[in-house]
Amino acid sequence: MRDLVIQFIQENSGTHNHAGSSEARFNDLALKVFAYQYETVPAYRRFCTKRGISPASSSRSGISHWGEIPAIPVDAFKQNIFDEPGVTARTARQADRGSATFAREAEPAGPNKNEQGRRAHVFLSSGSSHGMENRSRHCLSGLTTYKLSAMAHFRDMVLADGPGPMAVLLLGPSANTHPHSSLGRMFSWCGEEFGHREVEAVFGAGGAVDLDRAIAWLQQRCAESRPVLILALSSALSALISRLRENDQRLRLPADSRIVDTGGNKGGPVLSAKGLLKAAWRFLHVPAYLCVNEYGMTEMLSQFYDDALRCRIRGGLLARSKIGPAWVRSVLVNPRSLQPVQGGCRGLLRHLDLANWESISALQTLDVGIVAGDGFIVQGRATGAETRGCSQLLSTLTGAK
Amino acid sequence: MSSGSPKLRRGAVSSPEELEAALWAAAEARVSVLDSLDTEEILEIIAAAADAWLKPYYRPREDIVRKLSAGLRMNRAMLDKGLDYVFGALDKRSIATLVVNEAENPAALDRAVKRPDGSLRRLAGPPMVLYSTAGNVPGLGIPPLVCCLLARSICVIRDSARQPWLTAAFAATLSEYSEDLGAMVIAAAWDRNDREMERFAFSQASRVELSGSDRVVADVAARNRHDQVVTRGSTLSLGLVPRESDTDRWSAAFAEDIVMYEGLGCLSPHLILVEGSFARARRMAKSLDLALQRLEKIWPRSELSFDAERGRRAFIGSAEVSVACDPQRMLLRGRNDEWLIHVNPEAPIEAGPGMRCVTIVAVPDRAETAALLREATLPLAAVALAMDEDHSAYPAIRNALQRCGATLICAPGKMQAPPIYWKQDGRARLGELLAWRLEDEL
Repeated sequence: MRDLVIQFIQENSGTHNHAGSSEARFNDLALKVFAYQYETVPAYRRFCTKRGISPASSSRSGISHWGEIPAIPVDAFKQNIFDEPGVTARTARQADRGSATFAREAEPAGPNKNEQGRRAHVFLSSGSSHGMENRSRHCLSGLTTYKLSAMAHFRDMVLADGPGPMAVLLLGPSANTHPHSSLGRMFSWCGEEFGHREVEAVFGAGGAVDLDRAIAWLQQRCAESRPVLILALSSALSALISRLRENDQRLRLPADSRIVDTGGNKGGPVLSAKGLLKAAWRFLHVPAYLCVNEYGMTEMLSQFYDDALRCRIRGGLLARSKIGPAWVRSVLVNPRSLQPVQGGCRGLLRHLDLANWESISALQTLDVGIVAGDGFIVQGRATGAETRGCSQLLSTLTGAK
Repeated sequence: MSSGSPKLRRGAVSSPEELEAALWAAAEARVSVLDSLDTEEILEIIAAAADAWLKPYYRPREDIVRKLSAGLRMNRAMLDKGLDYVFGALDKRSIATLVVNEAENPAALDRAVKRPDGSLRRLAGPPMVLYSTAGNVPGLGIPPLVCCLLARSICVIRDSARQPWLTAAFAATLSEYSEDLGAMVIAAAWDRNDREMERFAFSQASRVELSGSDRVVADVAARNRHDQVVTRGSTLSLGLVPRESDTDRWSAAFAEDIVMYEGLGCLSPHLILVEGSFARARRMAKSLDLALQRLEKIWPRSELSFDAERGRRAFIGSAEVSVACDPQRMLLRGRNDEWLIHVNPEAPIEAGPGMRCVTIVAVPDRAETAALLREATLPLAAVALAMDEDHSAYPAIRNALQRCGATLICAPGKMQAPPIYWKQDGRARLGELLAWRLEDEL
């Protein structure tokens, strides 16, 4: 399965999900991936069975289109869906009291183990308002697909103009500081693949960011011609801009410098999307079309990016929207019926990511979006939702000056 | 008089000018009430006005039910029953109980009495109390209104923009019996972004009581500094089926508590703890499923807002995954998910989305029940105790629940009909208004 997915990614890099890749090929592979996951993840199989859906080959309830694949709530990644049943504090307490009422069935292990039967990589979301013990876990036997998927789409959406090796400033997690952060892993790869010399990392393991060091480093880069790539959590970028504003300091980064931020407005004081674009130009001299916001999640190995740079290169002047790679499909669904919404209406984002072949590809999120251009706009998380996402890493930032 | 159809004399005030004018009129009326109406008369007028609202042929009631149904997106027949709960609590005896429970000296509400220091003082509330109520269920302004009138305080009740009608309508009915009492109730409605109106209302109030979501309440309180602010935030209500009780007997009553106001009130049960084996919890779930199915026929669920449906979807998704992970768990659901029952022994003791979604938690024994209640993520409000009050175990369980913070312990089916003397959040709603005041301070 891995080879099929990797081949598809390699063949379709440079296109995005509304163009290029053959719909029939995508559909065919999506159904194969579904059948694989149906077989290898018992809990997912039960989930599908309850919905009366199975892979095409297995029964009359089989499906023939990727849109029919049951999307599992991303919450599943918090409930150890790939694990053998665990013992929680409560069951342990009850067991201590002599109650065997709640014994759970033993389950075969999930698919995402390496040859030694171990999960080589475990990505954890950065915590939530419900506590660190309630984090999403995404277990992988290897990182080849993730790296291929992440780098290919990053290149397409962020480096489409071919700026060459850049000086990289990391205002977010890295594989060193946050080994269980999927975002940290991706930022590190970006630094290695697209950076010139060593990456300047100013984000500590505890979530504190050294703003003074970041500003000093940026000042030095202003005197050079090599463009700068800033990889940042939106909250960290906001903190940097606030500091520049406090200092009444305006930097003029070299031409073609760019910013990738992620994390939205959750978890800490963050400038609005428009505010960030305005401030990027004012304080860093980075134009809006070189500011690209990323939308991603631990549970999904592919990412979405603003199409601002892509539009600029094509000469378009469309409002920015989020675009996924060719191996991802996204739909907006009605929260009540789970049916696709009509154009222009708000809906919950549902994604099908073939790069997730090792876990579960069809994911139902609670993120709210609206169709725009070739992609969608994320309108954030609706009222009452728990805070989640990588911006939680920044909970300590406000006091980290 | 009660069988007539009085016109609604005024709607809710919505600008500082309108509020100022209403406050002038209310101040005059208050002087008159202080001089001429004793507690017994006030109590009788409130009870009579409430009784009018209990009549199915009272035309304002039909009108309000229609408007509430559109504003709150709730079933009309359900809201009709809800109004029975709201006004059924205002019988003379219950209001008298409230006075006796919370007024240190009920006679002093009517006239000044000699205090130990020799001064002549009267028990009364502050000149004006501002209440800002949540918009999730109807009638939240009625109990504060009653307490204010008993305390001879003017009350300004800011209802949610989704349902600004009931307070004004009830004040109009009160005016049918006493113009002065009716004038002391000012229904207000303003947009949450109308800071000028908010500031003016706060500046005029002697005391402010805010209820709603924790975030909204905190924001409003932070914007408007006031030395007497009471805030009421989120709470958790649940049901308890003790080991001694039969599971089937109470399911219809629980179903009504769950469905009423689409489960959006602070008294709606989000969980039912069933003591005993997991099989008992499953049995409870099955009988509750049948009861919810019956209720769906008479009070069908309406589609709520996008955000509300999204919260519901989160519950459904989480329950589906939970059952997929552990087949012993159970998810019972109506056609098109009109209702959902998730049986999960591991469920945290926390509020769900309401909207006919409930979690049943199997609890092995009473000690575990107490341990779970101590783990609750929100303060407890109501607990529906599925047990006859004359059962020998009842007092001990009730006491244990009170120790866990429950302020309303009632039978299933009664959660949405708290008595007027219920101490919400453990606070004496009337008692906290009252203070010993010199006549010229009133």
